[in-house]
Amino acid sequence: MLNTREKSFSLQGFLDNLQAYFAAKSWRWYLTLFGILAVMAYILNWFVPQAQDNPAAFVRYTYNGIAEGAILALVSVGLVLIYKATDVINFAHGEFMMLGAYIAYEMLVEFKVSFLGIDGLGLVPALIAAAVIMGLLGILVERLILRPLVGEPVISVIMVTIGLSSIIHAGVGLQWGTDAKTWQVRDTALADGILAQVPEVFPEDSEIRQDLETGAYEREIEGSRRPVRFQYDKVYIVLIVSVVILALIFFFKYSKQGIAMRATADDQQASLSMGISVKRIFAITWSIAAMTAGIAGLIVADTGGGAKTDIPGVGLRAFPVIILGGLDSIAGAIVGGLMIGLLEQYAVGYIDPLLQENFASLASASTKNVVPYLVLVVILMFKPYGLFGQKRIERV
Amino acid sequence: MTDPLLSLNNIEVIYNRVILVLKGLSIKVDEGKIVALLGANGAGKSTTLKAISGLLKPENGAVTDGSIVYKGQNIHNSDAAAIVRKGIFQVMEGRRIFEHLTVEENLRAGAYIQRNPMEARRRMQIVYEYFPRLNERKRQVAGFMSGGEQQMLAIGRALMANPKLILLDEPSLGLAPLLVQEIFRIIKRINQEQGMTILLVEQNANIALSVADYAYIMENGRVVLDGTPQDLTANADVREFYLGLTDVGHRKSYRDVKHYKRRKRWLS
Repeated sequence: MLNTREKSFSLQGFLDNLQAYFAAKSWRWYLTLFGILAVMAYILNWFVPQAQDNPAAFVRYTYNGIAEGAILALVSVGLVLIYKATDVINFAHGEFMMLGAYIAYEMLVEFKVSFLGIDGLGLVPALIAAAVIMGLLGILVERLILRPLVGEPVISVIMVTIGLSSIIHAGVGLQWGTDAKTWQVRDTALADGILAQVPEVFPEDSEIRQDLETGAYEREIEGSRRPVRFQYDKVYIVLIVSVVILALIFFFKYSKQGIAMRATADDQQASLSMGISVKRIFAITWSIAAMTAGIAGLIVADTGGGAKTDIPGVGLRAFPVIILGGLDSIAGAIVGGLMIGLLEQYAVGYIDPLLQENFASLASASTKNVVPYLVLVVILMFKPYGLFGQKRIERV
Repeated sequence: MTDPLLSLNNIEVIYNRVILVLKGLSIKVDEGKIVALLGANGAGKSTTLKAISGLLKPENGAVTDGSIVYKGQNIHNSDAAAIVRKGIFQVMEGRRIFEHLTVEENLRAGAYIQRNPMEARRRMQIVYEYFPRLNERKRQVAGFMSGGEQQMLAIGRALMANPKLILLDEPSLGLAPLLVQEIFRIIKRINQEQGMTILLVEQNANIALSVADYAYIMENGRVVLDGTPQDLTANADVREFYLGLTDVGHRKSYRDVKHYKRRKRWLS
């Protein structure tokens, strides 16, 4: 035969092909990635003994994963924005979140804001206040702390953001102390209103009740080994995050300042040559990033036991997200956030019980914080710049 | 005689506080004209344009002596954004389009200084009239377009700002000869129909002299010759060094080709 091409298998060639395949596909492909993930988890559902008793558990893990992922996505978008525009990774981002949470506490508990006379909706003005105050703070931080550093090496700017995080942390401790500041917001009427919107995917013998400890509304299925718990509050997380992200997309796609921001990220000098003030663009970037961080902080506090000083830990969880999605891609931050959120929940739901029951020494194993990093390592082997990151050509 | 739209008087530009690039350069640009700035690599042509548009600062350069006067105002201390608002728009060398933005978004970025959105939309129609190709591709990501289309986009961006004076840096860079002719035809049309003054930096002296009303030849940060294109094309030095023309039919002997002597006069 004329075809004498060697058929032997080469690992390097296989990896190259796979990488080319990944690179050639658009974002639609990554959406199907979620599909694969979901199918995988559904199969798990039938093979893991703990899950067999209540198939609806899978829906719950996905639901919780999307809610968790939405928060991570919102945090990551802010980090990506700053990185894209200024090449700086903002280590004070978690502290921005924390400040947003404390502003919400001040609004809800000290100023007792309300909206339309319903207690639970006091969150709306609190959220707007947190967004506005954080937006102004972002401008202030850029003006006072980062602008004097223009032209300095990026690493010194990053060090300054670490310093800023310590200052905010200490300031919050001085002002509010280290105890968690909680608030009780949603009343029953509102929760019932949200309940009506959720499709019935549970057996009919389930019962809605309020968890007295966390204030969350749950639905328990009797007779199953593990009760299926739905926290209905999480619907509003996805709602708020979707609104914020849609607003950002419209801003970047259609507004003059948004287009100018993307132009500046592309080519700073060229944007200078058309009269775009790069200083102003940096200020807007920090403002938007601080705003999204504040909103995310409010959500974290509202669903996780109030404003407290360990909220910046959630900000740290955003770092694997932006590395997974690609440091300079907003779409990557959203997809990466959702992926890590889902992975964490599936780990809690399926991997933990398996380990706990089969290995005596792992009776209290929690893989929630490990699995996302394992997946991260595997994906970075094939796509070193993250799922959506731009490949940088660097000549040595 | 009226005052020129723009005049550079004995300007000196220093990069990094040590490298002297422009050594007392003077040029005048009259309103409504196309003025060409010719010269070899490293003569300081692009630096001249950046000195005018205020883009030297990000490159650590500074105008240390002389003055740049635009419409009777000293502008060499203004920052880039203020200069664009005054009506001077630089089309940078190598096109420098925003690669990840679509054609339409690139044009809207060019109209950043336009406060009125209706005016921006009207100007976009004007750009599409000059460059119908851009209209066909307005939703395309600009980085994937051909070099010629990208150059059209770069000039189109300048039109969006409706400037008085366009500084064009090497519009022919990396383009096929036919395309270069098309681009220069459009540049001439823009000059005549929109009344925009153009200061053109070019390596391709032939085509630049064919559209220009006046031209300067630079070497080593100085103007060494200036005149109308007719004068310059008649000059024996220009013919040989810039246009590549010599008397046809004669065999060159070594004795005739004493460039270095003639060149030397320019460098002094």
